[in-house]
Amino acid sequence: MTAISGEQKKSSRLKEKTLDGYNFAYLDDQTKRMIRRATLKAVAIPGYQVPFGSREMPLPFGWGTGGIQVTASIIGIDDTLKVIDQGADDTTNAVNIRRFFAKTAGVETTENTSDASIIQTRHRIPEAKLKSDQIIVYQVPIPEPLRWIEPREEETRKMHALTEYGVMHVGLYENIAHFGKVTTSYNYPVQVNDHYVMSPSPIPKFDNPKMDEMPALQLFGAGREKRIYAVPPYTKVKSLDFEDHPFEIESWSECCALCGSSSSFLDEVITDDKGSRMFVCSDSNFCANRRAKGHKGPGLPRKFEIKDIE
Amino acid sequence: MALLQEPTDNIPVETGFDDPVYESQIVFRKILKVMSEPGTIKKIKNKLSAPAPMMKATAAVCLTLMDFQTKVWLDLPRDSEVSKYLKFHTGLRIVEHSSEADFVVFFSAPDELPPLNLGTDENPETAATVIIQTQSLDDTKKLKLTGPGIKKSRFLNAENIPTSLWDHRGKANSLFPKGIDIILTSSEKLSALPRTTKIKMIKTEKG
Ligand SMILES: [Zn+2]
Repeated sequence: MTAISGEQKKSSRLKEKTLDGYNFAYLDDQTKRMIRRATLKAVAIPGYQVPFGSREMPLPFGWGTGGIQVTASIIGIDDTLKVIDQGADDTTNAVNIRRFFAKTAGVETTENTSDASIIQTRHRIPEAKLKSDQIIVYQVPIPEPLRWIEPREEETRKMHALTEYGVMHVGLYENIAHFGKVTTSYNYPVQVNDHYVMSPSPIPKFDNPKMDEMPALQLFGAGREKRIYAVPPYTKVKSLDFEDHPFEIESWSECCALCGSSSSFLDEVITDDKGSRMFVCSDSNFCANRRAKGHKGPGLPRKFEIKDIE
Repeated sequence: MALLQEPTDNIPVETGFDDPVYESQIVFRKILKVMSEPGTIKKIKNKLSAPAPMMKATAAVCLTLMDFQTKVWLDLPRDSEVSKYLKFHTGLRIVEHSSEADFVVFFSAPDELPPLNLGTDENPETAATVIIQTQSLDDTKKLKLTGPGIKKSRFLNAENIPTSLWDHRGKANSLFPKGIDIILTSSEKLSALPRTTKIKMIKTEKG
């Protein structure tokens, strides 16, 4: 009698559940090995952008091909995947990426942050604190935080190597001189483990403090520019600031109209053609979980039904 | 079966992964875990039969990360069973000099590291990854680790690694961002010490 081990069972489950004619998680093993090696080096040098040989993906750039390639290289049959775009699980981009991995890797998907082992994201970090053993994969459009100051790659490489970030500081400070405060509210640069200045991807600066000493592993994939970078768990991530202008995050005088949260990132929603507006949580799963627990917001403007925004 | 016990030059009797796609993903996630949380120990559960002196975890790491694109240096003769096994299962390129290698594998820990590629300030990712087999790996308080991936500190004990090797590693890593990343293996166990991990030797009464 041949006993079938648990591993073998899962292996055949893998073959059953994924589409015929596809590699598991779409990428061939050769490509995955190359991305995996780059990912390990990214983890070993926190905040440093490791070049990798990006592959053609069946989605256009801008859909997060870098993040998808990172996810495809790490994901396994036992993972549970959550995908968010602007904080929501139900946008076209998030739904398509989730479907892509459900089809090609046969993985379970979830909208619940705490149930996910891998979270792929564009533009937000979930409000629920991420845990050890979770991995968050960021989709990155422009990985080089110094690019707007220095267009030449050789020069930015040197600046990173020598931690010569004076120009970056000058740039941000000029912003203060003009506007009285740093007006960059997305993609606000951070310094990782006191060395590399890194682009956190276009998340609101509200999310920057979540990156500091995060228990989860943070991986960043840029498809067009073919870069992978990483922040290991429990690593110092500091938003750049100045003694006379400390780093500040966005705050709202309102709370979420639906769940009453006053600690989450809020999106402004126009509710009618007369310009009525309200503020709701950008993280739709966080908001739904709060409402499920009985939290209520101040409510909606008259004649506005909850189903209209869900 | 008798024929199989006398392998030709190219076909080793020892087996690789049954299901490479599935198994290498599992092993990779363990390597990723120990590299991102230095000093944690993971166990390889795959069925593998590596030729002596290669341990199971060493074989799993090599099969997962190496292929025809990787240059590898082994502290074993080029015609060793291990070389043949790795060439057959991964297609890797064995190189003459340790300084040319992407991966350097020690089947027994050396007193000092040979010349290694530490990468450059502009491209530190080209530095070698060093895999070292040890007699045992556990969390006995011999090495105190701090750095990224470690909440406060973590203890690790890698038996039979000479103090001189840690000193040598420390010197190489003082050139950060250049440096070397180490993967430690012991039978089915796996741990890692990336270049950012600071190691403090804990003095015992015996000295
Ligand atoms: Zn809410």
